[in-house]
Amino acid sequence: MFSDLELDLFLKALYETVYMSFIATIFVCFFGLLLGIFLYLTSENGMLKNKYAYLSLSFFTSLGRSIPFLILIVLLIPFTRLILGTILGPSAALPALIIGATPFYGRIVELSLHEKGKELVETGLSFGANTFNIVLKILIPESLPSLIRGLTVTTITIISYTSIAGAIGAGGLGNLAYLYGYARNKIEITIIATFLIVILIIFVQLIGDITSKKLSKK
Amino acid sequence: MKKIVNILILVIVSLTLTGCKESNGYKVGASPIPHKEILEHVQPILKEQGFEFDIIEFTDYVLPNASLDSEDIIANFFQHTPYLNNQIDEYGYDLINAGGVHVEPIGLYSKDYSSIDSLPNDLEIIISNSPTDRPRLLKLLDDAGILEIKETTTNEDIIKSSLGSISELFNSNKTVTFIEVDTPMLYTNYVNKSGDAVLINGNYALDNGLNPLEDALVIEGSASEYVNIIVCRKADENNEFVKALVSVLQSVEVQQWIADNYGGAVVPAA
Repeated sequence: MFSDLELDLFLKALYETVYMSFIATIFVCFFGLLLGIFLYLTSENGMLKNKYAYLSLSFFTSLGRSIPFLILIVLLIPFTRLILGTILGPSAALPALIIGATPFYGRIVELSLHEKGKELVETGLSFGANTFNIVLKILIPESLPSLIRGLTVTTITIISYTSIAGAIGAGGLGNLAYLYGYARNKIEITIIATFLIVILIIFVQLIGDITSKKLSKK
Repeated sequence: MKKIVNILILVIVSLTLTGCKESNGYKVGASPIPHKEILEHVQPILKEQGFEFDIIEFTDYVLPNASLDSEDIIANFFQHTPYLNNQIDEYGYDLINAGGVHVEPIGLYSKDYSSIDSLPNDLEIIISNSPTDRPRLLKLLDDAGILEIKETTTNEDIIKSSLGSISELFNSNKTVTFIEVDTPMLYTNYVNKSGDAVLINGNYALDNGLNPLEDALVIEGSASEYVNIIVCRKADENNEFVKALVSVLQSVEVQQWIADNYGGAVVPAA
């Protein structure tokens, strides 16, 4: 049905999307967890309750979540150029993907920790554990299934963000569907590229579901 | 008293709802610069002739023709003939060229190299990702002597080709690679010295304060086939407003205004 050339086109785009999403997810997992923990700790019910710290963290989180992704890419151009030496291609999309998705995951982490927080913390305190140990050894392990589910949602959000990164020559499946499908009126390319995105997202969701299920059975 | 209040509320609500509609004059679709500016310039002139119209701004290149086809607007002003023909082929629109107005020359810009001759042999050029710009960009590079489009290559080949295989369509003694970005990002790439050279569309060069005549290594000539035209439906070929609009845009005064206002970066073509 397709020449080798078009197969190459899809493989390259698939690789670009997976590359961007995968690397971004790793960073977002780390920074988002950190952000979420601080949001939780400084909040009303947290152990390091601090109104001002919470409000300013919360403000920047909301700010990060409200900037349209394409504008975020543009705003970050000087920063991207500084740390990567280029403003083009899949790698150049990473800073915007990470900074765009971290606040999203941060909020999910905050919510997850609040879910089981109060009881667990009281138990921990009664054993004489300090804040650091309570977070690391009680809160995170106990909330892990919910944190994984949140990460799944975040990864899927990142995958949809990558479509927009086509603006800076990052390629990817969304860009292929739009530029080589829609803009060139080649409907079959749009359909196949979109289908690949659907498969990718179902795959991510499946892995997320299985992992969180296994963890919650323990 | 209560009745009056109710009626008032009803009136206000229905006014607000219908208020979303623009005045009942004609609607013309246009790209922001310079098309919309040129149309704004002729708005008062046409008003004197008894024609009022609203300008609907489009930042995308597919919707203006779709809106024209669906009779949401009476005419549009953003494209050149090759693009119109391509759209007619692809979508089967019954649209025609009502008259040419100006050319926006695309230019090759570089912060690193000051002339065509000094460009490196391993040449990376950043281009717009708009498919229909492609043949035009290659033609400019061909005219500049950077590459030579093969005789067997059609515009269709150039448009449909992927970036990985586009080099099969031309000969060159340089290794030319292209990177595609959104059209508004072209200038950003030029400023940030991405790639060796950037092909910037005339309106974006203007928007960002570049003077194509002075800043570009090479630009398209004014005899380019890429004259920006007014397009309308075939059925409106003899519509009085469309005729008046085209004749005002092609008038000596307006053509002179275009030349003066854009300092040669937008070339009058009527």
